[in-house]
Amino acid sequence: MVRTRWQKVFIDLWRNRGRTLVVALAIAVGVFAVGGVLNTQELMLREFERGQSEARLADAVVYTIPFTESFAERVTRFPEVSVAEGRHVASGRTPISEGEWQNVVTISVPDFEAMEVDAVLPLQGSFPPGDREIVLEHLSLDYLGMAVGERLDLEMDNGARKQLRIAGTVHDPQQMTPEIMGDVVGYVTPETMTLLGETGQFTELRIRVADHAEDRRHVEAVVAQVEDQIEASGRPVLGSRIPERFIRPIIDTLLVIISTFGGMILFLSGFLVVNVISALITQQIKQIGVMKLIGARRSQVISLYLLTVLVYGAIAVAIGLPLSVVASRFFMKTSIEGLLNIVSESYSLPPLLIAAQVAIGLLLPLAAGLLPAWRGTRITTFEALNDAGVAKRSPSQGAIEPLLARLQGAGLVRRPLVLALRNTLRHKGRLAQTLFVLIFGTALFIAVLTVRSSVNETIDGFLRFHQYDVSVELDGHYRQPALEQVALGVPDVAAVETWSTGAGTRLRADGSKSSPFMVNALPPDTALMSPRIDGGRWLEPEDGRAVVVNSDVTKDEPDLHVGSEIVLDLNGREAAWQVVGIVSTVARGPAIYVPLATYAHLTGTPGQATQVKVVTAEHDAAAQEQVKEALFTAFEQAGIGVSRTETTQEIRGQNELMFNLIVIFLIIMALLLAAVGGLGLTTTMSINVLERIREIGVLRAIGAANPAVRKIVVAEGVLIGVLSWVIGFLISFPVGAKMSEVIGMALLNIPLTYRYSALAAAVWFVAIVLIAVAASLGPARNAVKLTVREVLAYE
Amino acid sequence: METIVSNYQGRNGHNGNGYGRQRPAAEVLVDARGIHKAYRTPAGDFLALKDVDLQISKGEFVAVTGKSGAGKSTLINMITGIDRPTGGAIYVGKNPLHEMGEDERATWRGQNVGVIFQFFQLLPALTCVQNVMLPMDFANRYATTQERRERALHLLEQVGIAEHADKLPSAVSGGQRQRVAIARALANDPAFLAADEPTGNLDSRTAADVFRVFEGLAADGKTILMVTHDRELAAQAGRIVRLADGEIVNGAGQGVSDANE
Repeated sequence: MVRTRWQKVFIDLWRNRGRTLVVALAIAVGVFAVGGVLNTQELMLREFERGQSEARLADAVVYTIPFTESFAERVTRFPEVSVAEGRHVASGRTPISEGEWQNVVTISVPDFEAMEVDAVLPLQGSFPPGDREIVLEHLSLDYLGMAVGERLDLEMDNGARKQLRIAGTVHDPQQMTPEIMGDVVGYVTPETMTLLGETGQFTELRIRVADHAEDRRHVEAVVAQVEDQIEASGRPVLGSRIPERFIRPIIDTLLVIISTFGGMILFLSGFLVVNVISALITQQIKQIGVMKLIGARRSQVISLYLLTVLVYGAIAVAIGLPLSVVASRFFMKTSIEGLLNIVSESYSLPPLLIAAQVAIGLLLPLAAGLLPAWRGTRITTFEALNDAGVAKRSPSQGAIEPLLARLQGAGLVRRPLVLALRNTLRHKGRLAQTLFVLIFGTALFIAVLTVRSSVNETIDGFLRFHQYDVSVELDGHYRQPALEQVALGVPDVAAVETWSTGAGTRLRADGSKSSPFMVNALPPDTALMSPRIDGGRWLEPEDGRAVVVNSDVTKDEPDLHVGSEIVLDLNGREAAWQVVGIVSTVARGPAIYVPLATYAHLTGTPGQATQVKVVTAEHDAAAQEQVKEALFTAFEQAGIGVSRTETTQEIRGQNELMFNLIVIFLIIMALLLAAVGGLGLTTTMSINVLERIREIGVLRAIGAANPAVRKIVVAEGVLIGVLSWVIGFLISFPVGAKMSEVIGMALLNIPLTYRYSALAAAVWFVAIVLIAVAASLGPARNAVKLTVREVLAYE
Repeated sequence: METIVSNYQGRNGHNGNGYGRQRPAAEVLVDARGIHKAYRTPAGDFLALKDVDLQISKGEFVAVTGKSGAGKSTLINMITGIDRPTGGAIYVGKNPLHEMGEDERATWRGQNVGVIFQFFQLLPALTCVQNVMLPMDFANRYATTQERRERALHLLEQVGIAEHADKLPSAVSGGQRQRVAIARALANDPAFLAADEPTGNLDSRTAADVFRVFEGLAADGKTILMVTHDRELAAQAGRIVRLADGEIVNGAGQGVSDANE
């Protein structure tokens, strides 16, 4: 049989089951938030890392003229190289609807069953693919809306057109969804590649270094050695790259964001426990006195309140933990796997992780409850027994009372509001405690949605970066006047510029080479770029060897700044350039911008270009798509080979998807914060009314009608809500700005473009007023239900 | 309905009426010397007790009377360890209450004193029997909850309200609540009972019934200190101690009986 003192705890919890549920729910939100974060983190990292490690990703890729497998085997024997394998990557397209095409990247693999670099793992259908067959990356198959066994109509950039049977799907963890990357990816045998009009040999050497793969400088050094050896064997090196692990930074940023917010939500829940236990003790002061009177030691009284908190925690764990497990699995399946291309092997969670969440759910509220329980039970038996139920101390006069009197005298505020104001401000300590939760919740809610607005603003900024609508990448250099003539002949083309792109590397002072970056050679007075200048200036018409670098370049080459002299290797031509400006990265990796004339002169392609940038008459997705297809046809008809086309609406979609995951998390966090804030206000209001139930009785005894009492209680709730909103609103400005900066730096290496979410502030204002009214009405109704005699006798 | 008197017989077989008067002065249980108690108020220190000396022998039934504000409740608070004097010494048995900390006094009180108040001070969430069991639980008396319940039911039977054992205090009358409070005070079988206006909130008939319970307890050998301003009831105690303005004006000495005055 349960001891009488514990029975008291359970009876109290049951008698106040509304409050028990609200407090337990508030803690459950905290448990859910932290559990969700920990579970998602566990699933996401574990499955992502497993996929990455099974794929044995290449540390570097070196491009050269076609080679056979035996050449790759020779490179494998280099001491610094663990393994090298050949690949050939060719691009083409497939029709997806009338006049609409989808880019397809086709990769040939020497031996599917012995892949030791960038391995793909079979998922569905048959593997490896046979002749005239292709296996598609599983997200690509979903994206195309096709099924295994169907035939893929493939038109290669070289003009060859074949139908390949889709033999199955594979998982290639380094491919992101086509919705982000824009390309569908498939894998074929070298024999099928020959059928597609491409070489049956390989042009990419994918390398894994023997050790220190995480040391970029070491990998660069190994690549340099391999390049020297290749060149010594009489082959030219056409380029090299160290693959960016761009998914991992997204994951890390995501984890930082969700862990921070999860922690904050739990902290808020804990603070709510502090408030509730403080209030509970204040309400039960007399009972504490009685218990001490009949022999209870302070530790015994404390243990009663700690058990109360433990029960709150247990209910919260029972609600929050299963929900967090279900939610993290759901989120993993519906969002994360698709966006980060994770194929989960299992959704099981380690028992230790679950145990940790149970411990957090039980112990953290316990820790939060300890202080108010310790403080509250410090009262002596005498003081506790003589607590009248109405505050012992009279309200402090301060500046508020005379002000209220003046306002009321001037007829500016009505009596119920004066009473509500006086009540609200009476216990300043308690008010501060209550307000803290609400202010914190308000500020974070608005700040989180401000980050979301800033993400959108930043994406808009990226789009403003490119003022063109369609970009056409050609398969080589073509004369600028011819390109302009063809493009301007296409209907709905409003303006045209010709650019050149290529790859370049920096030759550092110590003789080492940087990783390659994209070179954009363009007219300095281009009307089609509106970059965000982070330092220095944009290119000017009189510039010669002036270069503008983006922030991804300065991240990799931190010694670069405006005014730096750098030596660039552009298509094998080394020359000194001066950095004149730094622009924000457009989420597309390291890139530099140079004057087209200087570049063309240096690379021996004067008057020629490799890209055509077009402004269309209309800028919607459909108009851009139509012009894109028309341009493709026009160039092909003019004998100008097109290797890739892209519209800015496509780029926008890809960028938005990149941020989607983060935005989804931010919204979930905002909703959880709102839930804790709302529950906090509900609890506070119930407690405030309960605490003053005797006072309400006095009011009614001296003639206050029920509506008047209700008005006072509701006004007080609304006052607390509005007060917290005003302060939280003010705090949300710096908090939102700082969060936008930190998240931007973590994700893009630039602060997000700050845009305050006035909508979030307005929504929260309405919500907090509604919650305040709803939360006060219940207790107010209960208070006026009691008879005056009952209320005055209330213990 | 059975009355408390008919229900509660002292262990010696008589109803205890006037028992305290017949008992000779014996070993001192309460020895308070030079007690001062000052309260801080916004208007300055208020001296509630001034140099009070009081001795109570084991088995005595002492009534404390006086006007409102005379210091009666303050005195009982000092002797039960609810509050501590600002000066002087109080020994109950060998326990120096004036030196003991809050927790020590709570533990001592739980095991050695039963305290009864005018407004019952029952825990509203617990049933009558649970209220009686609670002191046993805090003091870890009686081995199991079942044993405690049996004892609590026995005590409730003794005070005549066993049939209300499982009701909440709010469901029984004032007189019945006070009987629950008395049963609770007896929970750990203390030798000393202190009651502050135990009949002050009851009608005269119920008050007389409740008083008879105290008489029965005194007859059973309990030492009783009762604050009352009902002169008639006080007159039935073994000794009357009269307080005025924080000072004992009559009846301070051990075994001095002025109940017939």
